[in-house]
Amino acid sequence: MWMLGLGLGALLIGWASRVYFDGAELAPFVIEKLPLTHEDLWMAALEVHVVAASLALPACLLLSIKRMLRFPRTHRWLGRVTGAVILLALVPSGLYLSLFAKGGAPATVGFALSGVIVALAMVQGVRRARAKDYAGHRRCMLHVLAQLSVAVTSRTLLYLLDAVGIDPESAYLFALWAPVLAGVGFVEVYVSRRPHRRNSHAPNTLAPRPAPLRTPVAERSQGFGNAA
Amino acid sequence: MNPTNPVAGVEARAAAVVEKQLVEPLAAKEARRSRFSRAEMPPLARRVRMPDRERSTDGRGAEFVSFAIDVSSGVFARRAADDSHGWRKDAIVGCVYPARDEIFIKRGDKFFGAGLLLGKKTAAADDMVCRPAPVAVADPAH
Repeated sequence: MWMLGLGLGALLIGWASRVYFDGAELAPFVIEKLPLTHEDLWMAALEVHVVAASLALPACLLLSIKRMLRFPRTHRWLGRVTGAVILLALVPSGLYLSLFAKGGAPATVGFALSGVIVALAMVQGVRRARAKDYAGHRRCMLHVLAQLSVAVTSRTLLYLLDAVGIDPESAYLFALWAPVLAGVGFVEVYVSRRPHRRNSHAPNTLAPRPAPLRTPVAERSQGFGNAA
Repeated sequence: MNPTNPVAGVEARAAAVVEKQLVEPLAAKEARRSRFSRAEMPPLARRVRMPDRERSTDGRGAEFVSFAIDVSSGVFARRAADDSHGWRKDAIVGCVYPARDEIFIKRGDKFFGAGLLLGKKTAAADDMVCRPAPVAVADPAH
């Protein structure tokens, strides 16, 4: 249900983001920001961020589906492309945009924190995968997904907070910080409650197995015991 | 409009220009936009105020009137019976030239054509727009 909501949210954001590429008309989000000293640079960063996010969130959702593990090659290649998009486009553009965030320094710090979590978790997640520590890889990638999902949850919160008449600036800060922190907490609690498995692709060696049928020594056939 | 009071007449005309050329097109534009955005949510209502009762004259001798637009948000927000609360003041501020139906809005310390709020790329207006001309001080020596 949660994944479905995120997927739907990602589609809605992607569809609504077409307005940023309309050369004839400025988008409301852009209008709010103007005037900017380096408007062209900011616009370029926004466009890179929008395209990267439109690819990254659906890709992360796809990669987190269990069925995807049946296709390890596809998982690896989609993961590599997604990792590159996130580390080379999404995070750098997001960090630049955070400098101009509505809400001033608290908003800048909130967006930057989310971006740093994504970058660190992505790098660490790739290292864990290369070390075949798939439990560690999963934990890191859940942090990435949780932070990317802030795009959906914060917009939902903004809509709800506006409906009850909360001041836009306070609403904006709450709708940013609450999902960022909740995302970190959720992953840590969710992951720590699951039994630790170093390699989820390998057979689960820690799981109890049915005891082998043993034949009492006295009833064993004699004569072959030390044949080896 | 009050025909016996020219100041009130200009004020009413200026308010009507802002209403017709800015508030109404803005509401129409917002009705079409996505709510699932980081941009500020469209308000439920806007009201136009004229904070300065007097007309001003800019450096080119053109008369203008300052205006402010307050907004009200929150479908489920509690509202005072007398409508005195729940309005966020000065959400948009600017000036209007009633003689030529031209509106400018203030962003930072600059003024832009109101088309900016409607999504049109607009350059900042020059420093005379919406700024009262300096009053000439009579030289006491003469």
